[in-house]
Amino acid sequence: MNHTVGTREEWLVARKQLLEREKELTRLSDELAEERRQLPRVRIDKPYTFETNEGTKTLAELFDGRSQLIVYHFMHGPNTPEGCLGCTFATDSFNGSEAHLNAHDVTFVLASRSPLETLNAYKRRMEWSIPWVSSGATDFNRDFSAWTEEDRRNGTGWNFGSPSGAWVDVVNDQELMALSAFVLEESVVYHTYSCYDRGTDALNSTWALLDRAPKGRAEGAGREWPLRHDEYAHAEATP
Amino acid sequence: MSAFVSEDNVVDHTYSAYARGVDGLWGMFQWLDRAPWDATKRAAGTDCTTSTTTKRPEGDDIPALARS
Repeated sequence: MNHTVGTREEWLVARKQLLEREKELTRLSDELAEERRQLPRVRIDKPYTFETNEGTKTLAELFDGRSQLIVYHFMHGPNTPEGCLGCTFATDSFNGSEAHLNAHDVTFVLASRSPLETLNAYKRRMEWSIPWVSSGATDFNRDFSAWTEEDRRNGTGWNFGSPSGAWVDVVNDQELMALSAFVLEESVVYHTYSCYDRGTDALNSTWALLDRAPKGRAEGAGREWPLRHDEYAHAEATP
Repeated sequence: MSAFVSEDNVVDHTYSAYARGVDGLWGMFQWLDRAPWDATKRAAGTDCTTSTTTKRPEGDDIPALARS
């Protein structure tokens, strides 16, 4: 792609035009956030249990005394025993936000199907602080990807059946990547929001930084990327 | 934030953003935008530094750091 080199004055004119478009997006993003909060809430009565470093917990107990819960469904389970690269890349970006979220009445956890000790070992390797729970043999992850019985039969549940999400094979029990949000009111848990695929794109600030770098995401550049953050040195040493 | 590119030993400035232009870089705001409650309401009115831009039409011009 060819780029022009301009004067500072030319850059300022073009940048101010772009600023108007960016402001449009910011305002639209605020409107969308409000619309997310206007979705109907769905009462959750299924007795899910989770293995945590504080013992077995129910879904309501995962809130940890707060009124809101966000779960990032991390692909670490029977079909991805090494932990998904994309989820690992994303979690590098999330890690550290939990203190701010907790202080804002939001509990934030990762949930995966691998055993707790496996998750703890990977978390230590990645040097993450974020709480990570095992949903183990429960239906939790599956229930929040396949919404109807038909979804379960034909595997179209993930991302509400969007064709672009077809790479997740729900029928064959593949792990899923998703965000689910819940609210706790008078001891009742309600599901409020879920997103998948590029719906989680904005949560990863590394993408947002690349979108402001001169050469952008440069996907398809040929290099294997992303890797786990402790694997780049090795990858560079062995081209 | 400012972005630069280096080509043939020449550095060119490519991009700069300010205020809510860096909103997307703060992962925490993106999470709060997906939480059940309005993140801006709880903080509003507690002191001037916690009022957030979504409540104010002129908010694009408030530095992001002043919102935390």
